[in-house]
Amino acid sequence: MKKTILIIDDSAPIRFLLESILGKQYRVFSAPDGLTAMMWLSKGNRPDLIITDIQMPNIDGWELVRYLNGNVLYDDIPVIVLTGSDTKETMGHDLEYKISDFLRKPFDPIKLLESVNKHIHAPADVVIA
Amino acid sequence: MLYNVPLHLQDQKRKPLATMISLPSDSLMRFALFIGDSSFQKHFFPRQEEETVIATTAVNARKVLKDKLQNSITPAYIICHLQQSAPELQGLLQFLQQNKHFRKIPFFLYTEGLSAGEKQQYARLGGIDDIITPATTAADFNMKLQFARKFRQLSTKADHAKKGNHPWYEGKDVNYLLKRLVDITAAGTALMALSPVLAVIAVAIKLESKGPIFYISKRAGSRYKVFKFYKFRTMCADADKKVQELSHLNQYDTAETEKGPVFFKLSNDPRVTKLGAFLRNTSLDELPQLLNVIKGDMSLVGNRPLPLYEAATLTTDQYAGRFNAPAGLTGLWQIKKRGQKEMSVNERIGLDIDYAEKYSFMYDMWIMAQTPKALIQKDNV
Repeated sequence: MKKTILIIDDSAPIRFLLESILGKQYRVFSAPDGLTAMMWLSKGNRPDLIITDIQMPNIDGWELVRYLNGNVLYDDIPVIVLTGSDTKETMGHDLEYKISDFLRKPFDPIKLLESVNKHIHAPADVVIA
Repeated sequence: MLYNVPLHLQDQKRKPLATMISLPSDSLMRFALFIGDSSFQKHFFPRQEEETVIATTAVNARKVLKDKLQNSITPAYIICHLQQSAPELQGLLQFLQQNKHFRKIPFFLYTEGLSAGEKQQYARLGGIDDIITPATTAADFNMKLQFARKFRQLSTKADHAKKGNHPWYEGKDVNYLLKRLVDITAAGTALMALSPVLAVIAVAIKLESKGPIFYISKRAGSRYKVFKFYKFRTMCADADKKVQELSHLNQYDTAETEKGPVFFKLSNDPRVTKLGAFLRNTSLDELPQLLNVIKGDMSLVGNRPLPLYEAATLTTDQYAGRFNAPAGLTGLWQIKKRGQKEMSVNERIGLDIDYAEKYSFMYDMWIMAQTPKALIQKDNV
């Protein structure tokens, strides 16, 4: 059975692009913000990897990452941050987040796919401070 | 305060709770509901504003919740000790989900630890906000509770996720089916009719310079599908290796943004052979792309498929929409701007995005009708 990836990005073209790039190898679900993603999780869905943007309405990417990091149910799911924002701007404080990879837009889809393939079987190992 | 449960509720028929009770939106939350034995409570600091209610089983907890709801009271949160049998826990979570007042209540599981398999199992039940363990401090719990409340409140107000704009193609979309029919018919007919011309060009390329007849490169097309893109070779054999040393002559302004899109095109490119210049000016070098059309990599009309180094600079919120259109031999850029030196990168991408948003079969027909006069270029690019 194909592994599942959850994409969270408020840009519809980026979501379509990621669905297309990842859809051949994985089951892909996408959400326009952290709230919709959490609603999807709360219905009993559990992805094998999450790709999230940072600046989003309602529940933003860092807030979601902090929740996932601190929740025993989800703390072993690899998270890849894919953002057009500057790290320092979006974090705004000195919290540490456990994520598997941090990629900036514009991104090379081929490298993103390599990162997904690498981390979907591995625990998060990168700490952004 | 501790309540003795199970409660002995009167055996009278009640109306459904959801219709019988009407709570104000800011209904008072005055108690915390613990399910299971009370031993794990010692891990939490008592919160002064709350009473504590302990229900020994999930079934009893449901009775407590129904009883309290009649007095317009719902718990501030529920913590369930993971001693309950899976069916009981599942039943309780479903019960909470079915009532609009209970859906707002943060629900936590308390456990000494979970295996990887158990994590998956409990996550798939749905409705569990977080896990509490002996290591959870009061501060941790307050943070988890705060986030769970925020999420529950937001999710009750949230609209169902709206579907965004569909990408241009859907398997049964009439525009797509008509487009594909025209593509195969026109490209197949053109290839057969032009086969003598193709043969002459192939021989001429071989005679003029060393190297292969075709230039095959990887391009990113619709939705970033990477495919082999065919053209007649119009440059010297090692042209790709010279891109870096000729970058200062690039027709496109790459200084618009420091990390902006990168397009590369030269006026009077020194790498182009004499025959190549003729093929480019007459657009005959593009003819092998009819094979790409037959294969389904491209369409007759669409956005230009891009070299991977160019395509990778357009994967931003602002520009990624251009990949929602099919890749094509001709398109808006070709009929509106082709051969104009003053065209900016943003103008070109703007035309691509414009096409992706307006795409229809009739729009394609209009673009095809405009294409012939654009084929003879004003500038050698």
